[in-house]
Amino acid sequence: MTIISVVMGTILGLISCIVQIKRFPVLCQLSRLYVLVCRSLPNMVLLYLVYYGLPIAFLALSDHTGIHVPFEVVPAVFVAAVGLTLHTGAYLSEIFRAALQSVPEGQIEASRALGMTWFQAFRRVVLPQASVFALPLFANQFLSTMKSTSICFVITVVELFGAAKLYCEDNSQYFEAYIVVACLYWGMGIIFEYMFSRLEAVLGKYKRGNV
Amino acid sequence: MIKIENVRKSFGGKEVLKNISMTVPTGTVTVILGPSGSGKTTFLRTLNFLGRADSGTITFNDNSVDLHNASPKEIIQVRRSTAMVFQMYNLFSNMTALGNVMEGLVTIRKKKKREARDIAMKCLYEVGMETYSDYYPVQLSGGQQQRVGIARALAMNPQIILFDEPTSALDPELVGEVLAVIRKIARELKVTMIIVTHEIAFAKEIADQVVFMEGGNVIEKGTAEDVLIHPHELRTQQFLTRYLAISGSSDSGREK
Repeated sequence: MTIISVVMGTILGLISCIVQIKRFPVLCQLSRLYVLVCRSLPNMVLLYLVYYGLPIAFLALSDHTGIHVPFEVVPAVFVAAVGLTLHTGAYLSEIFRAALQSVPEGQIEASRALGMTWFQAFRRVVLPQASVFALPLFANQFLSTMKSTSICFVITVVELFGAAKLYCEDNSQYFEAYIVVACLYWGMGIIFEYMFSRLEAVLGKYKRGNV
Repeated sequence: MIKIENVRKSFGGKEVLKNISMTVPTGTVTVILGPSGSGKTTFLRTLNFLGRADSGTITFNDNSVDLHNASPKEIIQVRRSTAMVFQMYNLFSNMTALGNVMEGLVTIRKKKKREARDIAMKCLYEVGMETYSDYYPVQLSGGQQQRVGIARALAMNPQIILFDEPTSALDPELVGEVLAVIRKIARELKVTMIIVTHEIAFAKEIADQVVFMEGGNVIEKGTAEDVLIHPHELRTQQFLTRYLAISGSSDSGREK
């Protein structure tokens, strides 16, 4: 669920921040509004809003257009993923914006002067540098999203934390259960942190040189 | 031959380029001189659409492009037949020296990596940077970075190279090596160029044509000897006198 939310959030965040940087009319304002709203809402509130709001939205949709979305069978996990994606996407959008703006304007000009298209310049010059800037912040956001999955229990999703809670209710071994949960989160955190720091070292090679 | 006609541009109601025209014959060097704020850099940047002129045309051989209303396709086409060397070098910091020079060949010219590498190494050799091909820009001095910048421009085999104050950001000690490279490619490779610079002694030595600009106007235009040694216009004379008074001695020292 973490990975799905972060991947989808990355796509959403990237689109949102490119729309803002390229200043597409209307879309740009929409994306600003989205970032503003989703960043200022607590994660749990956002989850509840999506959980209770989606069915209402789908109902309204089928009332007006006759298109029926079978939302009754949509699993809560899906709703949770949508909520986390919205939340993560908003944060990542800001991270990506800062990262893209960290690439010196002169290098973009140089690539345009060579005759590169906007996309070529983005792919060859901007993205490789921006990703090094964004990676530590991205890792932060990834871990934070991973931990936020524990509140998805409020909308009936049984994830790690939820499972522990259920176990406790049956066996009353609260401390033991939560210790196990903490260790599992800790383990996952360490693994991902290691992966991110390796990746950062590889991508950031040009900052130190290789000779 | 490259012909540039009637370039005008305003920033917020202030006219910074007032009808600039010049012709640059193939294989010659045109140097643009003038005080700061005279529009030299702005003019240069309109030629490859890094800045948009309000009007004007640029003509390569018989192919004219409107500097104001060019289509995106025409803009790319002009950019691919010109190259620019920047005041701040603007090397791609995520690529090695070799990578910087290869980049245009691979991404734009769609050449095979091997072929691009051969051309790029040849260009690095021209600027004396072949032994630094694996260095990243952070590991190079300003002068070395600028030489790589020149190699990057050379590699595209452009019809003209635009130099935007190529030595202004350098330590005085490093100016010489960059000027030497420019001198060499002008003489040996007969590359057509427009150079915006403050190095008057260098201009005197290398320019086939000198253009003196001030306040968005071309004040005087002619051979280096005409403009720099026997200037007709009072403004040119004043500029040269003041310039020589400030930096005459140190400037001649760089020409060794």
